[in-house]
Amino acid sequence: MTRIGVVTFPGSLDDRDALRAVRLAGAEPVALWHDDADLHGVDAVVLPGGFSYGDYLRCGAIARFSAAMGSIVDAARAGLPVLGICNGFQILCEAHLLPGALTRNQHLHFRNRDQVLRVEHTGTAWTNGYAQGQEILIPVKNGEGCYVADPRTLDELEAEGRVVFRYVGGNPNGSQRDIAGVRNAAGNVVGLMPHPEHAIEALTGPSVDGLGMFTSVLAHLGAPAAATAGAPDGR
Amino acid sequence: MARVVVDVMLKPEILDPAGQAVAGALPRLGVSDVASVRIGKRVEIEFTGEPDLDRAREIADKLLANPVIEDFSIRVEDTPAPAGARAASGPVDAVAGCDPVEPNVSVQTPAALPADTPLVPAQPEGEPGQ
Repeated sequence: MTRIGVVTFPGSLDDRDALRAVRLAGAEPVALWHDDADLHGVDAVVLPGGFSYGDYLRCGAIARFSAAMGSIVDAARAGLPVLGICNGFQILCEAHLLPGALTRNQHLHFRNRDQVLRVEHTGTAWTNGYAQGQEILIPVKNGEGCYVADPRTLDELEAEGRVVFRYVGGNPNGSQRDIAGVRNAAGNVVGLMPHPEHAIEALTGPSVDGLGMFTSVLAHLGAPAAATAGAPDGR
Repeated sequence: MARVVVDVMLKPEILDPAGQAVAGALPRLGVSDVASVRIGKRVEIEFTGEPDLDRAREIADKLLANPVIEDFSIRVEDTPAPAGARAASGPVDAVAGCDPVEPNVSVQTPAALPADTPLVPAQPEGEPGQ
């Protein structure tokens, strides 16, 4: 069975939800520990949301230098699929696996709401199960989710199809060009501020649209998704 | 013990909503002549031995500042030192950001030196000659 690791840092909040999403998608969830450089043979890694190391200095700045991240950076450069959610996205930017940075929300408020995103690119390990331009509804909850990069980098991202998700129906944090998520050049590393792991079943989420990211990586790895996971719906 | 001070500031082109919020509060203090406020971080580093500016710059570049959004400056800060060691306590400024060009390092002799103190170039021990 495909094994997907979820790293727990001191201050991670959504690691349990991410492990659950992995399981519902049909993979074997593997709990990884920030202080352990051993990735235990996982086929993909999720960096969950939360406040790693208390968000001290900058969000993700200290987590980047953890033992687990040292191994993940090397593995990601060799093609390991990595998904960074919220704080995980911040960590990926700090680790220079993704361009840009996440800064304080422009309006200074913590924003917590269900958010419509448009899937702008389906050629990644984590979005191949969506339709190009599909709109999905998943929760966003952050205080420092304003995506910034210099204009040249933004232009490159747009030109190379590396903007993976864009906010629709209102930008919750002031992110430049409404960018909610980006990918690396190879497409194995994706980061986004909203939380797909909170939209995986009707009981607890506003939709099941988030499950598509976890089933996409299974397809990418050539593994079957759980029968109960189904395909991401076309809402 | 000499201390290395690293000041980290958001780049001028990066919006600082927290600074704007502070600026917006100033009229309530009766202050109306402030054009802008920007908030940064000051980090004080104390080495076990002599201050190592190269090492401090590496620390700042890799961890203390994110070159995508922040610039930093480094200096050795005056701390009370025994007589005779004063020449090694001048302010040293180095400004660096994501610009790969080697930062300028200007070394100044403290103005407060007694008149009879020889004005040797202030070059703290362990500081790289640049």
